[in-house]
Amino acid sequence: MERRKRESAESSRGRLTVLAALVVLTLAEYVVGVKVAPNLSLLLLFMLAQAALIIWYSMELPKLWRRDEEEEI
Amino acid sequence: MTVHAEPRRETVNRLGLWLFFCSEFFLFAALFAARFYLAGPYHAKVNQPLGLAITLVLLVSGFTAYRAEAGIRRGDRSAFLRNLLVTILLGLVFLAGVGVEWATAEFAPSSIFGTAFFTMTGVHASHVLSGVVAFALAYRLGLRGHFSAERHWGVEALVKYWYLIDVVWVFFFPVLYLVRA
Repeated sequence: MERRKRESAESSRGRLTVLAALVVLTLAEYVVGVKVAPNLSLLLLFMLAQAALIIWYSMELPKLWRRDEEEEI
Repeated sequence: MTVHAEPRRETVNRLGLWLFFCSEFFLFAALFAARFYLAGPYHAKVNQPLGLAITLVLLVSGFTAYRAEAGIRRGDRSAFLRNLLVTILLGLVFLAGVGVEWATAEFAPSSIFGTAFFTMTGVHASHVLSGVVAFALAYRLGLRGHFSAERHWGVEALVKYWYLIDVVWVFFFPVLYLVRA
């Protein structure tokens, strides 16, 4: 139980970091889009960075190929 | 002779879920491409601050959804239910924002950009609505004692689905609200 709580707290901190990164990227994207240069290629960089963060860390894509035993640990 | 162990049920479930996500990505990618095919990089006057606000709301709701999953994973039912409720509320705020945007849009739905805008936001909002309904069902089941630290696949799948909605919006927000020729 204690181990689960500790892991959960660590994981929460990680997710909070990802959320902070997403918020920063969104705000930067907004500033670029409204004030600087709203062209697709530049905005695409922001989109891809945000999507990669969510898919990798939040949707836990690596779990797809992680072996079952590794998950048990 | 090598003997391979049977994959666990969760592993198979995850694979099935990701195949479903792939089919969803194709749907949204088609809408993404159609927006540029129809209207090019042009966009009509849209409420950009409102678009930014609902984007941030959706991103935060992803975190609260994760907190709900983490709660049930460690057997903390009250944290699970509390975070689920916050996620539902944030989902409703997002839908309200889309509703305001629709009600105050200064372009006709039948215009070229309007067709792309209302179709993309409409299909996305219908996914948000289905996620909110599913969260509400999970909340009700949670109140009745369903889900536990050992059995919470339904919650995990739902939270991942919610993140899929986040990913789609990450692409839709800039192409509907920011990009210009």
